[in-house]
Amino acid sequence: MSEVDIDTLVSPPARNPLPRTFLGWLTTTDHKAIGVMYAVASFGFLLVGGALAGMMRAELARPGEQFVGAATYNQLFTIHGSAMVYLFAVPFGVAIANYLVPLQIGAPDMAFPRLNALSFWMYLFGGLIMLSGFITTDGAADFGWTAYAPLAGRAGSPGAGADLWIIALLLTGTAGTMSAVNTIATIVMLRAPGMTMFRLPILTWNLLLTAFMVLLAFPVLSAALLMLLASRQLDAPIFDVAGGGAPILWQHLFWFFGHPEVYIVALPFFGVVTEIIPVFSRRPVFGYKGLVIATISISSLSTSVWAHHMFVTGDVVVEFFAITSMLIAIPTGVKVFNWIGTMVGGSLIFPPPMLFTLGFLVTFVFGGITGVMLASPALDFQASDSYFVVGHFHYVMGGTVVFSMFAAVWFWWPKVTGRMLEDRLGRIQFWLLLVGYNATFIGMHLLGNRGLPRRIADYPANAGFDDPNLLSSLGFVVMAISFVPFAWAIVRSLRSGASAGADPWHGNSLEWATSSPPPVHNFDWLPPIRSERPVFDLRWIEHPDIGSVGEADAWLGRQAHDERWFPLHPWREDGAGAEPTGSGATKVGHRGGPAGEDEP
Amino acid sequence: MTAFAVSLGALLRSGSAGVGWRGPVGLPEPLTHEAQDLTHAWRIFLVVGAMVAVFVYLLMAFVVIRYRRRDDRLPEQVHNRIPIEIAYTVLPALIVVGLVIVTVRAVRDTQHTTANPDVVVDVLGSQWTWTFGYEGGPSGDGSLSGVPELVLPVDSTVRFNVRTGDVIHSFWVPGFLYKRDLIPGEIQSFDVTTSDVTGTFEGRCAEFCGLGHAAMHFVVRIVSQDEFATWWEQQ
Repeated sequence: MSEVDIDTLVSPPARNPLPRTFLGWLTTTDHKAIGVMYAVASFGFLLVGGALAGMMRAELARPGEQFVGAATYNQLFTIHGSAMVYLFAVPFGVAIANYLVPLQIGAPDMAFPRLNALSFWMYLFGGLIMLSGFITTDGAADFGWTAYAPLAGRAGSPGAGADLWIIALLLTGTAGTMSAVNTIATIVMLRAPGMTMFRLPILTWNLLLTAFMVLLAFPVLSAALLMLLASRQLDAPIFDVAGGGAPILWQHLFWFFGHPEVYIVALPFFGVVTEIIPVFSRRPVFGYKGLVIATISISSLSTSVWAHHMFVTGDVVVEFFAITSMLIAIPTGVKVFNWIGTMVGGSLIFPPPMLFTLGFLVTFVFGGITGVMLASPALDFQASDSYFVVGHFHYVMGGTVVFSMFAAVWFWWPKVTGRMLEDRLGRIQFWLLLVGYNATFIGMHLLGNRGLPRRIADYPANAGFDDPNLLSSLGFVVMAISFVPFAWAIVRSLRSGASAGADPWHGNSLEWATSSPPPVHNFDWLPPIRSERPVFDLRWIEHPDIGSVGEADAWLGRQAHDERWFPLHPWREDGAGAEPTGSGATKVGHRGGPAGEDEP
Repeated sequence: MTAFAVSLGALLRSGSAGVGWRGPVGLPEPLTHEAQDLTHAWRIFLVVGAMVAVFVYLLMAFVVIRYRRRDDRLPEQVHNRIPIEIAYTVLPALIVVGLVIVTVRAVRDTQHTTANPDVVVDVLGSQWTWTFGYEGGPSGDGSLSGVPELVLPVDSTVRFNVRTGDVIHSFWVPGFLYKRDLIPGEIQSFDVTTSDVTGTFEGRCAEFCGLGHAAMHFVVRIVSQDEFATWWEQQ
């Protein structure tokens, strides 16, 4: 009946295997080091984007122009949106993919480690190139993160900042495409013996489907950006009516990228919460296959909904795109109920990762409902390009990403660093963030309906816009303060954090079966993989429902099946190589040596 | 903190001094028959959305309280319950079907055009002002000084032909609950039927169009048919 303590099966690393010198970081091809760099860089861009938002909220707190003029404001919202979407949200998903995919599938590294390093550095310098627009004469790009032609053309935006923005996105987009290739190759080719597709952790499933969407969407963006660059620099009249072009083409190309993009942003984070909820509920994920099918449906539908961003252009068949867009509500609803269903009947505890996950659920459900409203052209005619949209996408993209990013950070920080973060600080951060987040964005729906367009540096006084804007700016302050306990938790953890051990949360997936931080080649041994929760199965191996007695006939059957079909890993009855001390280890101990040696 | 409370209070009231929002969640008073239909659609979506939100949040709250960890036992390991999963796939699907029907009906109203509109207005948006020209009549004020004014009679069908002089703009009268983008190289048309509401209302550019975007607004004055005839003569 008792639990097997995973820590007794894992020898702690002699020293942190992450690089220690600047040159080490610069030349590393270790997926974990690259994952950490992705996370740190994208968190840095989050702070930059947040600072820009702070300047905007300062300007908008009261009617009239106080801090920045319209020219600066236009740069602020352009780079804020671009930094948050292209440089924070997507790359943080890449960080998760980089760090966790090899660990979750029992592989020693990504399939193409050097390509991996190349994509990180292209992304980092792409991001810096975008920001460098601020130090050019005319400032940064100022046409919004959507860069609609012809405003984004040379006549509309003559500054060099616009070209830097385009080049930055070409670099980060190409980096994203290379990452996607790498992720797909890794998941398809490097799974450990026994790790069948339907035993993949849901996070890995989501990252795989995200990668396929990236392959579909990012090249379209790159093509459109090259067209825009050509029209700016070479007078190519692609989007120019006088030369026979069509401005609407940009919107089709952009949103053909842009709508899969929001799922590219969201799916990794859906995966994160799907990992966290079962752990803190002590239950398997409810409806695993349903979740996978729902994710596949979302990914497929995401390619045929782009024109719901163009309902008010008069150039699209609104009913078609209304129907495809609303259909997405069905698999999304399935996901939400699967998450809740996982908790039903569970044994729930609420450390910070679980709190942030619940915060994600609250904001995401709200944003999902306003999303269905926006999918209806009848409502979108009013809400499109208004603050309603701003409120909506900050709930779905911002709420999803920020809350589940923090859930991910609090959950995997002990794995990455080997040290715990302090729960108390996490709870303070969570409540501040929850209050600040909702105060900032909920009033925006009202502003939009009352007639406030987005992307305005100023608004008329006494027209119903004052109070919600003030509330929003105050909410931003609360949200900014919520970063203080987080920073303090990080500092304390790095200085004097409690040692985490291999498996502080009693996790499910393979990353918890190796030391924290994991050694360079990730695993000295692997537990048998007989379900999507190999570490859970190992921990509860003596439990009548999980392990060797009674119901476990099925378990043994799967083991026999796997030994027949995955002969590459010979079983070792004595468990040597794992240096086990725990009681379950003799039964499950795996042969020693880095997992990589066994790959064909 | 007091400012916070005051703002929250103001947010919950449906409008602040001098401005009235008769529609739900801050929506303006509908100025056209189409806007009335669209408000109706908004109401349905809001009711359904609120019901879904309340259901999901209550369910979450219940689950979080009911299934707190009470002892160290491993709960029953339930991997799926196919009938429940089918139920929560089919129910949302039915809701979606209903909402699609509501949508298609409301949209059809906005796409309906009449053969002989009472008033035809040519709307020209350009950085960063509006010009309103009436077919067979006066040409509206698009000068940079003063706010451009769009005058319309009550209870009339009005056709708007919208086009842009430069980049993309968007013609938005919040009281119409409708907007239409002005795309270079395209002239697009849509009809509205004004209701019996008179007064002066705001109109704005909704699509970001550069430096002067925030100030690119206009005034819609809806007057009685007699007043409209007088104004028409004066121009």
